[in-house]
Formats: sequence, C-alpha cells, structure tokens
Amino acid sequence: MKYDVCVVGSGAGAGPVIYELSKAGYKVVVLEKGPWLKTEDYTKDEMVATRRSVYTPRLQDECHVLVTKNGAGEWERKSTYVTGKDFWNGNVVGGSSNFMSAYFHRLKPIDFRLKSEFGTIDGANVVDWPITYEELEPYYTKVESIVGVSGKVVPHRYLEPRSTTGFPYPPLAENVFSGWLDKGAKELGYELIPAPRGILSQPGQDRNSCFYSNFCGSYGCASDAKGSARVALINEALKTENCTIIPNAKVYHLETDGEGKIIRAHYYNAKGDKLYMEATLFVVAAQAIETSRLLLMSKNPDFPNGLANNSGQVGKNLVFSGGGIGSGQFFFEDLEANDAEKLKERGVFINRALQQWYVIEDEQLGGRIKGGTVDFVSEHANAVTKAVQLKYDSDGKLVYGSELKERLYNYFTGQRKLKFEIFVDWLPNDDCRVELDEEVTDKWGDPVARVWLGYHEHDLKVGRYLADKAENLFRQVGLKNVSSSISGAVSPNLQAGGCRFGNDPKTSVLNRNCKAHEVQNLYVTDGSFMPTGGSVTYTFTIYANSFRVADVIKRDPLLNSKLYI
Amino acid sequence: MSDEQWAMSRKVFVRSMLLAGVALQLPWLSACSPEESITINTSPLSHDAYRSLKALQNVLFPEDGNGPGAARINADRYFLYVINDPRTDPEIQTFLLDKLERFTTKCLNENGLNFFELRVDEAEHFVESVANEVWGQNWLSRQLNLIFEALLLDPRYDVNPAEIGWNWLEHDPGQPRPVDKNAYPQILLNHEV
Repeated sequence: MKYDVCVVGSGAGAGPVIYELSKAGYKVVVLEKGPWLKTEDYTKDEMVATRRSVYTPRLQDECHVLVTKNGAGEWERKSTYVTGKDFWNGNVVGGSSNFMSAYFHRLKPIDFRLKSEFGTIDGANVVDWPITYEELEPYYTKVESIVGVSGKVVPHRYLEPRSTTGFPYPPLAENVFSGWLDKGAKELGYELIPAPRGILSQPGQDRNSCFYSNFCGSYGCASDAKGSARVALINEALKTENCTIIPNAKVYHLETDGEGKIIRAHYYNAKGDKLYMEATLFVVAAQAIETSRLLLMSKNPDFPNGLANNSGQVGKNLVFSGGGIGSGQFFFEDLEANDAEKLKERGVFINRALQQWYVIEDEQLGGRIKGGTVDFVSEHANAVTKAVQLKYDSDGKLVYGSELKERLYNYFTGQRKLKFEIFVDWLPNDDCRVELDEEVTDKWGDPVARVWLGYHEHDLKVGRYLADKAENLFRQVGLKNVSSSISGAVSPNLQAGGCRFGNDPKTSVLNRNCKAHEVQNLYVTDGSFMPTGGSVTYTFTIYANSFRVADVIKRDPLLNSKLYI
Repeated sequence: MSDEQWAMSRKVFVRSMLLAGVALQLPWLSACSPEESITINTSPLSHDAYRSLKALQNVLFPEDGNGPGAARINADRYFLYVINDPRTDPEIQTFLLDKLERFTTKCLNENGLNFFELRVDEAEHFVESVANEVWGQNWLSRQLNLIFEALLLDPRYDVNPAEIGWNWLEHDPGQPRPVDKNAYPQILLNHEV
C-alpha cells in the first residue's frame, strides 16, 4: 500500500503532523524505531525507567561516538559503549516526549532574531530565523489547548505577546517551598514567575489530571496527564482510522527516484528483515542527531554527500542547551516541625522560574547580551540514583560499610535537596555537529552518529551570571550548602539543529516551511530546523512548529489531489 | 545549627541505633560462615567464590543495626541474577566475574585463606587495600551499585524484601507499581525488543 504521508519517528516533532494530517483525511503511516508501549506499560519502576535500557537501545547494540576536548585541549573520540555515557533518549512510540518533565516556556520574539538583536559573536554561527514569533504564536496557543498546558500567566519584563490571556489549565499543586521562594524573591527584588507545564491539572482531552506520583521526568506518565505526543496526539489520530503505527521499524535509507523525490523509506523490522514503505510525502522527525544521521546515510548518485546535503549543511550547527545546575539543602532539624512536614510533601511541584535576565544588561559582561531562564525543581525521587551519588566522599574516596549506611540514612531522612536548572543559548559553532562514524557500526552494520560536542565559552559566562542570581535566591530563603555547576557538558535530551531552516539553500537545509530545499517531498519537523535554540527547553517550540508545518503540508500540491474532505 | 553540628548530632543518633542492634544480637559479624550450607544455584560461581562474595557484601554493607545489611536485602542473589541475565552487557558480567576472581586470588595469595575465612578486622583491612587500587575501587564501586539496587528496587525483583530498604530510608516509590507484564524483562519480551 502506498500512503499519503510516511512519518519517520513519533515524538514531539512527529506528533502534530500525525494528528493534523490524519484528522484532515490523509492516510498516514508512522515508522517508529522503538516499541509501542502504552499507558498501562508505564509504572514507577526504577529498574525499568533508569537502571536498564528499556526505553532506549542497549549500548552494545547501538551507541554514539562522542568527540570532546580533553584537559589538554585536544579532541578525543570515544564510543559511548566504552564510556557508558548513554546519549539516547526515548526510543518508543511518542519518543522522548513520554519522559520529559514538560517545562513549557515559549520562545520570546528576540529569540527569532538573535543576530539582529545582539550582533555577531566570534566563533559562533548565529543567524536570524526566517520566521517571526508572530508567525509561530498561533501554534503555541494551539499546543496549549490540544496538548494541554497548565499554569498562570503573570505580567513580567519578558512576557512574550499572547493571543490568549491565560493557560487552558490552572496551575498544578505546589510544595510549600514555592511560597518560600516567592517571599525570598520579593525581598531581593527578583521577578519570580510561575512555570507553565505541559501537564494537565484537571481532567481534559479524555485524559486524567496529574496523580502527583512524584516521578515525572524520565518516567512515562500513568495518568496520561503529561502531554506526550503518544497520549495527546497519536491516540487522537488513531481514532480517525487514517493512522497506522509500525513500531520496531528502524529506517536506515530514504530512496530517491533520480529526480529529487523520495519514493521509499527502507527499514528493518524487529526480526532484522529489510522492508520498505512507499508514500507521496515523507516527514522525518527522528530527533536531531538521528535525523541528520538518516539523511547522511541516504546517499545516492544525486546526493553523494547524503540526502538534501549538496550544500554540505546536514549535521552542521547542532545545538544543545547551555547552562548548568545548582542545588541547596534544607535540614529538617533546622526547621519548625510544621514546616519540615510540609516540605517533605512529595509529588507536588515547585513550578517557579526566573526570566528577569532573559536579556542581560551589564557592563561587566560587555553590555547588552542574551541571558536565559532559571527553573526551580525538586531533586529527582529516584532512590538508587540518589544512593549512587553518596558512595564517594568529597575527596573522591570510596565510602562503604557503616559509614556509607550512615550517609544514606542521613541524606534520605534528614534533609531535602532543592535544585535549579539554567538554560541559556548554546551558540551554534563549527565544532558542534553530526557526522557518520567511519569505524563504529550499530547492530545492523550501519555507521553510528559521531557527534562533536564543542561549545562556546560565551555560554559559560552567561550561565555563570544566572547561576549567581539563583544562588542568591537560595541563600535568601535559608538553604544550606548552596552551589552550582556551569560547564559545557551536554544534556542529550535537549538537542536541536543539524538541518537549519533558512531562505538561502547554500546555508540551510530546509526552507522556512521546513521542506528540504533539494528534495521535492521531504519535510523535517523535529528540532533539527532550529538555527538557534533560545534559552528554554525545546519541546514546546518543536510541537508548535510541527503544527505550523502540518498546515503547510496540508496545502502541498503533491497532496492536493488526495484530499478526502 | 551548622552542617558540621548537624552531622555530629546525626552520628550520635545513628550510634545509639548501632548499640540497639548489638543488643538485639543481629547477625552482623559474619554473613556466610564456611560451614554454612548453600542451597541455591550459585552458577557460575563456585561455592567458595559465592561465600567470598557474600562476605565482601557484608563488609560493604554490614548488618550493623542501622538498617538492613546486604544479606537481608538479598544482595547475593541479585548479583547472581545480574551475571546470569542475558540482557546485561556481557562485558559488564565479565568485569564483575573476572575481578571477583582477582579479589579472591589476591586474598589467598596474601593471607593464605579464602576471604570468607578471614576475621572481621582482617577482612576489613583487605577490602581497604583493594579499594586503594584503581581496579579495586572501580569494581567495588560497581558492587555498591548492585547493593543499592538490591536495597531500593521493587521487591518483585526478589530484593528489598517486605520493602525493608524503602522503609528504612522512608522512601516513597510512587504508584503504580510494576506487575508481571510491565516489569523487567517481560516488558521487553512483550514488545519484541
């Protein structure tokens, strides 16, 4: 059977396209590399969620090769199978949106014109986006409604223009710590704001409200409150009977017809058999690194450097999220009994953020520069993860025996750790990119992605500035052992770029509608399109842009004769 | 109260618990005596290697009156499960086994006795010497990870019996809990992974 649209991947970049095109009457087939886990499969089992490779491939089967600078400033190439640093995110139907924490901040208008606003920075490949915030705004609103966003809009210095006054769902329940942060922020003159979340606080969309299970990020949602692509969009698409999901289907090659059009997506099934799928249009949304890898693997005489890569731009200008993390502790013995009991309350959220320094104007930092966001969070409830962190003392010596048990007991029962996460732009640069590795292959014999993880020193300067502000707030509210870490280390779940969109085919892979300049029937709708990432997590923007592109695809002349409605 | 003061007061508290443990005559001095009969399948470990493993786990996570020790959380059985799990990376399994052999051989060479035959002070001294070597620290660190899993994973994995680890550390594991179809490894088998 030939489908109207074949979608590679099923996460946040794929979900809106699957949803919109199925509802519009097009026959959509989805090739998802991972299994089709459903809500009843998702429990709060640390073994499944984080101690074994259940939601991600085993590293002995599929790894990455990461290229980083060592202490001497030399580039080092290491397989993640050797180092154990897992660079995968969710490989299941719904992708990593199943496992997000769902902090849903919009980008700001200035994020779309970073170069115009702040000028060039040596060593960084900053460009403006080919679209404006105003073009994306209706789609942010659409995500808030369809995927479901909870929170409270409050006026503040960098509140982005909105076409609606509030979020569709009220804020989630909060821990007492949120109020303490509010008080401390007021004392310091900080503009602390409620953080919006892609989690339902009330039943809606045929989904339950949040159960407050205390295990959100890294875990699939058992209540369906979290707005994963699987629950919020794919399940709705399936109701149309126009959508077919094929799990355990790993696409390895996109075949073209010699005239710049894709005719087949070739894939391996669970048994390793080679199969293919035919469609009129193809949408790739396999997450940034794997999307670039697939295009680079799809070489043929017309595209000797990889599909849509005659410009040499595929895989270039990969971005992550700059910044870092910080923490502080409350020791229960220091608190009034009543406060300690309230602080111990599990499951409820902190949901506070700082965007007061989304633009920093400070002469010590060279004048006006782009800043970022600070989100305040609880320490993750994973018990084994917490214990593992306690086995070394401050001198790096292994601790065991009764001393270790005492450390465990004190940490688990005597204190609560609160954290903050800092998000600043990861400046695109020549040393952050995706290639095909020439030596390491996956279990199918295909080259794995070699990912260069070079970062720009400017990112650290901005991150440090925000970390100092957040540390001040933590100390103001009485937290002890306040510290933070800003580095060029990468969070693999925050990846974008590699197939920039733009108006010039020489410097971009996709046009402003995320259609490949060089391929007649290829769209890319995951985070690959982003030339710069902004200073927030990406999922909300990926959702919004995918809804925008879905509207474009519905008008694509190749599908026009196929309209069923 | 300063952090240091807080740590000291906790120490006093924990020490009192330790004494209570002694009063209850908890079996914290030896987890596996040479004479103890072994009723489980210890493959691929020999009985002596298994006895040394249990004795080592008891040094790393003793039954000292402050929460459960390694024996009570089934850390030995969990180790056997991991090294027999076909889905665990074979290189990790080899690492765990090879270094256990190195550990037991080193003990025999240096002490003329199996590790499980050492007195408590001798065993602690030997483990300390191993922890000071790079290979030893890496291996013991991984042993501790397995003990943490035995302490804090769901009881359905034949560890953390009666939620003893969760109760000790006042850990709320969240809901829903895994059942047969969605626990490891069945969840993978059910979905052809």
